[in-house]
Amino acid sequence: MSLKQKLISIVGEQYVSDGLAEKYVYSFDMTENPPKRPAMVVMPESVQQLQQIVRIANKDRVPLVPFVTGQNIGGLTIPQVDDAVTVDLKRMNKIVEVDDEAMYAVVEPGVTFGHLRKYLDEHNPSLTYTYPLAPPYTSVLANALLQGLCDLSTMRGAMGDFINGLEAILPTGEIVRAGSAIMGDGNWFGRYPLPDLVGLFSGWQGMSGFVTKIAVQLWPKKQFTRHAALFTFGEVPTTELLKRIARAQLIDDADCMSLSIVKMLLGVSPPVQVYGGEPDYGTLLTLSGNIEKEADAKYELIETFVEDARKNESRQLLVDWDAISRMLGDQAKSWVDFPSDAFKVLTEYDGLTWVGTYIHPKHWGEALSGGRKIVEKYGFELMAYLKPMNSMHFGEFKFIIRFPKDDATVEKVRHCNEELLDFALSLKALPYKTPVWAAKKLQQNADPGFVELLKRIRKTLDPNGIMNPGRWGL
Amino acid sequence: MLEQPKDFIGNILAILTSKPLARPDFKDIVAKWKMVVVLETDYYPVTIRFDKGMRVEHGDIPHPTLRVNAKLSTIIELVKGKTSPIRALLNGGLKVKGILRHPRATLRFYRLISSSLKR
Amino acid sequence: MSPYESVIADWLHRCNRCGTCKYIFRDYGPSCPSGEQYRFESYFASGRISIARALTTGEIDWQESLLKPTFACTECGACQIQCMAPHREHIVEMIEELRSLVVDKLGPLPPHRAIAESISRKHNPYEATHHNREIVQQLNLPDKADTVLFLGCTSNYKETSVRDATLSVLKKAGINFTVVDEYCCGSPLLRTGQRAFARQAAEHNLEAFEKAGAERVITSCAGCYRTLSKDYKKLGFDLDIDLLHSVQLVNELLTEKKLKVTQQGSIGRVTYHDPCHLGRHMGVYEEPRQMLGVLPVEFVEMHPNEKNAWCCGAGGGVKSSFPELAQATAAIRLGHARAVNADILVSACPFCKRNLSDANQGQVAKVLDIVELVDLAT
Repeated sequence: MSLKQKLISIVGEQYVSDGLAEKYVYSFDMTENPPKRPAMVVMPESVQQLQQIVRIANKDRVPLVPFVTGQNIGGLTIPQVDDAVTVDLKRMNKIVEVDDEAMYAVVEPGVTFGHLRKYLDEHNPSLTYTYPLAPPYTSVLANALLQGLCDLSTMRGAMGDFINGLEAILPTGEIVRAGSAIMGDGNWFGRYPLPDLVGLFSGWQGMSGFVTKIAVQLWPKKQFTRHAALFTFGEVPTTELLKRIARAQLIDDADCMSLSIVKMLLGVSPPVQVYGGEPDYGTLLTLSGNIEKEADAKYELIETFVEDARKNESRQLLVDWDAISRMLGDQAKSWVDFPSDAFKVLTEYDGLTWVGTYIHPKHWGEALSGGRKIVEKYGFELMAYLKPMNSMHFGEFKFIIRFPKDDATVEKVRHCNEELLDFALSLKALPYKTPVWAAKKLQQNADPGFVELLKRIRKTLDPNGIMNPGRWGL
Repeated sequence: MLEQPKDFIGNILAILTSKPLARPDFKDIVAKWKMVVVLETDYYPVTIRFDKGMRVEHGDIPHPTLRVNAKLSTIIELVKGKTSPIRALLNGGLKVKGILRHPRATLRFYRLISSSLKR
Repeated sequence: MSPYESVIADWLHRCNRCGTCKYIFRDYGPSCPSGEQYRFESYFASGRISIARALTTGEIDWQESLLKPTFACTECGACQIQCMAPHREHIVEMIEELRSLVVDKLGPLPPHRAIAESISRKHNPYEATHHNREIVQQLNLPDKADTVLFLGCTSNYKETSVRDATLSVLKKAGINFTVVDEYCCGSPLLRTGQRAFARQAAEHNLEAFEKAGAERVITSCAGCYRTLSKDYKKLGFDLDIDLLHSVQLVNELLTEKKLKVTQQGSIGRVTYHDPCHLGRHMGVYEEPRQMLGVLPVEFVEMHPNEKNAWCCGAGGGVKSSFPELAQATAAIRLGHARAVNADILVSACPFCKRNLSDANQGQVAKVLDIVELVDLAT
């Protein structure tokens, strides 16, 4: 029996394809990373079906590439080897459980931010999850496992920190759990006190197995939420002011972006240029309180920090949301609308990419100004995006490039991103949602013991090397 | 009426003025204006040209009909209704050169701005 | 030379597959019947745009396996409503151009070829005997009139109760109208990539309108309405005629009391299905709702509706070539009607009526066209 016939026997003919359209559409993502076609695409509906697929693949040495909702970056779902089978998990889309008391949700891979939001609004209105700067239909599970950032990251860190536990199919076909749910269902409250086996899957880009369920933390919705915008000049003064605000733990989130991105939200047509005298950055601040007074007090404290900053640069400006709504009109709503609206400025072309890193706060401003020079050298629109993370234990920055995917531009994007990454690595920053080319550069700079440990763990979990081979440059 | 400016303050002005300019009667009136106003801010100046419509450009030009000077923070105070154009003029937050030479242009610009600031 | 410019070339480097087209904006319910049915990325709008791009740039060659993802789409246009990228208004045009390219290289799907052959031989896609002029004789209609009723093939040969109700309502309102020797408007050809034949149909129909001295053309078919209004212009024809869907005229007649409601008591609990051709493609949402406000029915909205309405599943050549998609899509829509406890599911398109009736397994008691409801009540 051929591999295709075996897969059909598991999921049915309708959900296996080796047609040209499917092979092509699953061969690339929105970034500049080189495409490669899978041999076929299979779409299981259940853990049992997926387990059978993995068992066959392990026996027949078939490389498997996990894929969920299709809004991919970093080449993360592009096969790195020949004859791979892409496993599209979007049919596994159940919200398994929401626990109002312990505040978590257990979801399958195909559950998206939009769907979780809708579910919570309808069934658990006092709770919220967090939303990334991404289209609304990206996978909650994939984003958490890729340790991305979201609209609570300034207060609480990367999404990988929100994982309470998970269920996974190992490359050899066994189903395992990590976290408190090892004690049974309805008990996904956390990861400790245990050996933290979530780490065998978080950040691995699907190299250690298929995660079939994940428990993520939810948070109570605060009664009062306020937004404000901060317009600032200079990379170092901007990051210094954000550090001060974040360390004081006044804000849920700070979305700092090149002013060009704010102008894009306002509808300025591409290419969006920087004009002398415009503020360099616009930051959306979100703060909340259980009573209005709490939110107001936080806002007042932020005002004093900005006033201090104005002693050195009188143009640093904090603007409350009432004024922003009037100044920016309808688009003010887009700026705060997660997970739906804000991504639209990134859909100008078929190409979209970024080099994003997490970085020590002491290098944050330097990374930003150095990165800016590189992007300006290549003539791309200035689209820096930065966020204080986890109450300023670390910083995040990325330079986004939206580009038409013609050959010449793709080549230019590759050079620009490579230069950005080299510069970031020189400051000991860590790239996230790491493409293979970036992972290889990281390995050259990283402690060799870490790379060796990765290889050893992988060999132990996946002796036949079937799970997403080639990722992380391994 | 107003083609989209490319700069930040130009966009803010475009949004603020879009409401009164959406009224056909007022739009027709503004379309007849012929004057140039430079708005100097602590960020950068913009030039507002009225000539069969309104256009905002980044930068300054010599010899405009009116030269208005205000910090962006003052403009925000105006937007929020915490001050009025008259009060800002009196306390020096807003300065206008050309009032005496071009009283009609001043009145027109005042009319546009005050109707843009109405809630 | 083709009157069509290449929309694919115009928007070649736009869609980055953000996926916003897949679901209803801020509602998060599904919007794409084809994607929901087949689930592979290639069956969503973004997948089809990728295929179009790859064929244009030569990244992929012409293979039979492209046919299904290319054609298994109702072209309902829901993707266009949800998309926020610059090419959003052109997605359906891109899909139609892709189909036309595929037909040029690989030929049409067999059922679509049969439709074209039937239209060529019998001027309708149903292999039915062409008989418009008999209606003129039966109803003693004039040869010439300001108003022409364009019957549409589905109404004239399949859902004849829609035709009869439209004729009856126009008579009751005292409209001086006639019926011309109409050919299929060309919609099934345009939707299935067979553009060349559509031009001939348009030429014939426009000549017939002119011969009749028509100043306005009315049709009860949403597909004909869109084709006559939009596609004929794209084919390069300049129509100096007012085009109306029957709901637009009948709503006016009801409002002006030229049609009087005579029915006593409620006909039933009614919900309205927005036909894609009438709603999303032509922007007509209000008139049928106003009509249902006047008629003796208990009107209830089902969800999703208006611009986000779920497609009936029939259009884009799907009913003939992908009956499983047509059936499944209609079943979902019938489920929406059932969820609001409607007895009668009303639409304003005979093709919607046909497909929803075919799929109805008791979710609603009846599927009717709105003009039938008007005929019942007046």
